[in-house]
Amino acid sequence: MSQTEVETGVHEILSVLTQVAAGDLSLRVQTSEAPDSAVGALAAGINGIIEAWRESEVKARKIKRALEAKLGTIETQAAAIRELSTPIMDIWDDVLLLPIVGVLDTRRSTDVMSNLLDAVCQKQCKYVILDITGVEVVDTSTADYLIKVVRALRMLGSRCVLTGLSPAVAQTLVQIGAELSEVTTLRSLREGLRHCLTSIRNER
Amino acid sequence: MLELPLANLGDVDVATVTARNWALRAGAPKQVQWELALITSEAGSNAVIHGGGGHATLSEPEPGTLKLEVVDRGPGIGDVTAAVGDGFSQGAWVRLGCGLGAIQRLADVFELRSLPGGGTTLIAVKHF
Repeated sequence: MSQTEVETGVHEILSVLTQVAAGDLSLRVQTSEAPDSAVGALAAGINGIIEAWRESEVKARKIKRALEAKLGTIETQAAAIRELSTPIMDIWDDVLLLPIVGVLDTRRSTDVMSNLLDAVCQKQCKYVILDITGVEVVDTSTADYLIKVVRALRMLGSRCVLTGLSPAVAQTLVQIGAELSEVTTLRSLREGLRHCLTSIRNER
Repeated sequence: MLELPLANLGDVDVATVTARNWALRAGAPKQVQWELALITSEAGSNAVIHGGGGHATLSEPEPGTLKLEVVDRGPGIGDVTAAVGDGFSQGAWVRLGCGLGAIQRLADVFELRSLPGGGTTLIAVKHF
């Protein structure tokens, strides 16, 4: 093999490598050299590396797409969970139930307020049970906000019964000076429902 | 130490549940667990809604002390003292505006550092 032939071969390899480095993985080194010659073997080796690289690139792209799809699903689910965090149930004629479980923060309490007022307006129900059995702690500002929800409901012609207060929540309500004449509080959801049904029966 | 991303409101929910479980494992009483969860929820919501996202870090500098640090990439808060007072809110999503006040009341140590344009760092500590 003459020196010129080797130089041509190396030149061809270098130009392919430059383009491959720029991102074009479809290129292969074309050489007229025999595969058992030094330049031919080098070209074959480099082609092997480019092919392996291309394959791993295809695999990575596939994984990335799958991952993106999963992330999309997670975001949809998170939105669904948030929507489910303030479910309003029509449990009896004239009685709506809104159970709250977990952390009741500023953001969630405003969601509760707007969803509940909309539902009450739509259904024209007489009683709303706000069951907070699953809420361990609230801040004073949230407790104050809950009392405001109760007042707003009364303006719309509905009575609100608060059930399932934890000791800490009860303490906070007292701290902010909530009037018990303003809010009916009962120990459990069961008692709350009984109270609503009795009151409805008495009104008839 | 635990680092949690806060990119969207879904992340805030995850961080809130994680903070509570972490406090439980650290041996904190129920009230403290839920208070830390509430603080995380309020601080996380702020970071996402006003701060353009960020991250939360939970650590236990010494036994019986739980520390939450929330860092966001937002425009910062102009007047920190006014922000802590209830009723203050900025941004397009005008909410109750008492998230920061709640954090201050619920935490044993509360620190808010903000430079306009430099993001906001919130530190809340609970002892038990």
